[in-house]
Amino acid sequence: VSSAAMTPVAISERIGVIDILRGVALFGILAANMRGFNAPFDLYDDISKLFPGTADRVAQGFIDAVISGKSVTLFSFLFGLGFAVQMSRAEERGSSVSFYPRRLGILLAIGLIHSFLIWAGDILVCYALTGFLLFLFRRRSQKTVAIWAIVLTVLPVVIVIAMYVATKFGAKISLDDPPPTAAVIQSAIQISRDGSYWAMTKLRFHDWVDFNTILPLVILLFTLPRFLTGLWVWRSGLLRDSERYAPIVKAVMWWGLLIGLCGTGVILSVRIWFAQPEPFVTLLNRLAFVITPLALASFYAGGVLMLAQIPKWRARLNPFGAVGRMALTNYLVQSLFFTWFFRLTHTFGSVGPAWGLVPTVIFFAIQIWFSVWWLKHYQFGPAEWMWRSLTYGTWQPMRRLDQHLLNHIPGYIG
Amino acid sequence: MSETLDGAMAPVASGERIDVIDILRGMTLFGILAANMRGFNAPSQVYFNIGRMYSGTADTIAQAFIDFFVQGKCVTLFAFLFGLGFAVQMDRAEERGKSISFYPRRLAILLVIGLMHSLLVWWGDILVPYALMGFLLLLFRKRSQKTVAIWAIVFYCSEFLITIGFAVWGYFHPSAPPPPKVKGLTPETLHAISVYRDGSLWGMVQYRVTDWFHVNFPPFWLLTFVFPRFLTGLWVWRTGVLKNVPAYLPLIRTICVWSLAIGLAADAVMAYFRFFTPPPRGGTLPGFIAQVAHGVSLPALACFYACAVLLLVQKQEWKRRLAPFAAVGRTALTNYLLQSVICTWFFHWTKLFGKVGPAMGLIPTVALFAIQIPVSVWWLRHYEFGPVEWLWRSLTYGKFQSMRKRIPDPPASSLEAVEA
Repeated sequence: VSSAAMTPVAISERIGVIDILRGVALFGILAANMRGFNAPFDLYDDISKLFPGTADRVAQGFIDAVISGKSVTLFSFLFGLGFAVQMSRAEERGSSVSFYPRRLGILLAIGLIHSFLIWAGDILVCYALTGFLLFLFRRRSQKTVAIWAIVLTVLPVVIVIAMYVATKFGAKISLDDPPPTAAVIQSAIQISRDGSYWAMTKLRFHDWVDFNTILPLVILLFTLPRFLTGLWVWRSGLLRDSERYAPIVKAVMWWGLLIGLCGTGVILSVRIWFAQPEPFVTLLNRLAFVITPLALASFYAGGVLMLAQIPKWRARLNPFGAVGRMALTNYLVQSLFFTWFFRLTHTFGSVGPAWGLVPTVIFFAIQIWFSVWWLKHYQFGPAEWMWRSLTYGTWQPMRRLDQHLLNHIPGYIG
Repeated sequence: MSETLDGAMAPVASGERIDVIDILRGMTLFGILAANMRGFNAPSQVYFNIGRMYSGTADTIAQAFIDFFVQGKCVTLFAFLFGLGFAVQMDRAEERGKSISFYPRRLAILLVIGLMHSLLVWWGDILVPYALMGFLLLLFRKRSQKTVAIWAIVFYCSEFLITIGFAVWGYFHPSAPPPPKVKGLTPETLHAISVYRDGSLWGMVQYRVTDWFHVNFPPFWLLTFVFPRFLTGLWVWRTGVLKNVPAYLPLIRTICVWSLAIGLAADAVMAYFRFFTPPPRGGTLPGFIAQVAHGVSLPALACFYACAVLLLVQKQEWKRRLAPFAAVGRTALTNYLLQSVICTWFFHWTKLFGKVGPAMGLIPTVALFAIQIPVSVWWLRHYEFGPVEWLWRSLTYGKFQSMRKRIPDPPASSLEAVEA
C-alpha cells in the first residue's frame, strides 16, 4: 500500500478540457508578458511612455482589453482546480496528501530560480505560497470555501470604494509610485542590452522586489480567491458532468461577456478620454479593473468548455491541451527564450507592442507544435518531469510506456 | 516552597476563567500604553525615530528604556494572548458541543470597532490587523500542532527574509539617490503636528485616514508580525502547559532564564548599533544586524515576561499583588480603547500635542494606568463585563447580554471568589 500511496496520478486520468484551457491561458500569459520581456520593468503598467505610436497604442490597448489579467485569472483558477483534482485523487486512492507541501516547496524553489536568474515577472513564487494557504482548505466544506472565495473576491471592491470615499473626504491616498525618470529607463535598457549578466541580475532583483512589495496583498486578494474558486468548481462536479451543467456554464459565460464588455468599455474610455481622471472616474476605472478580468475569464472558460463539447472543435483545441499539459515547461521556456532573444539581438527596448505580436504568435505556434511532438514521445514535459521526480524523491519514467508495461508498474493500476 | 505549591497544585479546570492569562493581559496593557504614548502625543512620521523631536538626555534615556524593554514586546504578548484566547474559546465551544459560527461574527464586530478606532481615534490601531488575521487563524482550528508550529516558524522567519530582501534591494539599486539628510522635521511632520494640535475634529479625521493608510500599507506586518504570534498562542494553549503549570515549573524556569539571556543579548546588540556607531540605515550590514537583533529580542523578552509572571503567580503573595491586573486584562478591549481616546483627546485639547517628550510622557502613562487599575477592579465588582466587551458580546450573540453581576463579590478579593 505504501508504495501505491505516494505514487503520482497516472496520465490517463487527466481531464482533457482543463489542459486545453490551461494551454489557451498560456497564450494569453505570453502575450501579456511580452512587454515585460522586451522593455524595462518600470514601464510594465505604462508601456506607451516608450512606444507612443498609434499602432503600438492600439496593439497594447487590444492586449490590455482582451488578455491582460484575464489569462492570469484563468491560470490561477486552473491551479486551484488542479490542486483539487490531485487532492481528491489522493483521497480516492486513500493515499497521504503529504506529497503536496513538498510539491509546493519545489515549485517555490523553481519560482525563486526563475525570479532571480531569468525574469523578474515570475508568478510561480506567488502560486507556491498561495498553494500553501489553499492546502489549509482541503478539508473545509464547500460552504466555507465559497464564503472565503466570495469575501476575498469582493474585498477589493470594498477597498476601492473605501478609498474613493476617503479621497472624497480629503484624505491623500496614492497607490501609484512616482513615474520612473528617463535616466532610470535608459539605464535599464542599456543594462538589458549590453550589461553583464551580473548587472542584469542586480537589475532583475531590484525589479522583482519592486514588483513584489505588495505580494501579501496579491496573494490574499487576487490569487487565493481564484485558487479557491478553482477548488470549489472542481468539487462541485461541474467539469465531470458538463452536459448537466451546460445551462449554468452558458449563463456564466454570457453574463461574463456582458459584464466584461461593460468593464472593458469603462477602462478604454478612461484611458482614451481622461488624462487626469477625477476621483469618481478613478473609482469606476478601479472597479472595472477588479471586475473585468473575472468576467472575461469566466467567458473564456465557459466558451472553451462549450466549444470542447463539439467534436470538430475538440479536435482543433486538442493541441492546446498538449501545451497545457506541460504548462510549467512552456511558461519557463517563454521567459528563458525571450529575455535572451531581445538581449542577444540587441532589440530590447525597441520592439513595441505592435511588433511584439509577431514573436508572440510565432513562438506560441512553435510551442504548440513542440508540445504535441514531445508528448507523443514522453509522458511529461521536462520541467514537469523534474518537478515530479523531486516531489516523489525518485526518478519518474519519462518516456511514454505502452499499456503492457504500465500494468507492471505498481500504482498505475486502478 | 511547599506552602506556595499548596494553593497552586490544584490544576485549573478548563471552563473556568484562567487568572494568569488575565493578569498577563492586564500587565501587557501597561506596556502597550507606554509604547503607544509617543503615537498619542507625536505624529506617525516620527514614531520610530522620536529622537528627531526630542534629543535631550532624559528623553533619549526614557525612550531607550521603552524601546529595549517595552516596545514590540508587549504587542507581541498581546497578539500571543489573542491567539491563546482564540484557542481557549474554540476548546470551550467544542466542550459544550457548540458551533463555532459565533467566532467569525465576533471577528467582524472587532473589525468594525477597529475601523472606527482607526478612523475616529488613533491611526495606530491594532484591532483591524487582529480581526483580519483572526480570520486566517480560523483555518488552523483543526490543524495539527506540527502544522501550526511550522507555519509559525516560517512566518517568524519571513520577517528576516524580507529584511534581507530589502537590504539587498537597497544595495542593488542601480541609481539609488542618497537618503535626504533633513535637519529637524520634514514639512509633512510639521503639518501633522499642526493638524493634531490645532486642527478641527473633521480635519483630524481626514488626516488620520491618510496617516492610517501610510502606516498600514503595504500591510506586511500583519503577516510577518501579528500572524506568527497568533499561531504561537494557539500552539502554546494546545500544549496544555497552562492548564497544569505546577507540573511544568522546571521547564518554565529554564525557558524563563534562556529567553531573558537571549533577549538581553539581542537588546545589547541593538544598543551597540544605536548608541556607539552612526545610526544604521537599511541596506547596510550594521542596519541589517540591528534589525535582526530587534526581531530576536521581541519574542525572547516577551517570552521572558510571560514566564516570569507565570512563575510569580505561583506564589500566593504575588498572586494577590498581581490580581488587580487581572481586572484590567478582563476588560482589555475597553481599557485599550480608553487609552487611545483619553490620550489623543488630552493632547489635542490641552494643545500639548508635539510638546511632551518620552521622559515627560511617562507621567501620563503611569497616571492613566494607575487610574485604570482601580476603575477596572471596581467595575468588575459590579458588572460582569467591561462596557465594550459587553457591547461586543451583545452584538456577537445578537441580543443584549446581562451586564450586572447577579451576586456581587465580597469586596476583599474578587479574584479568589471567582476561583472558589
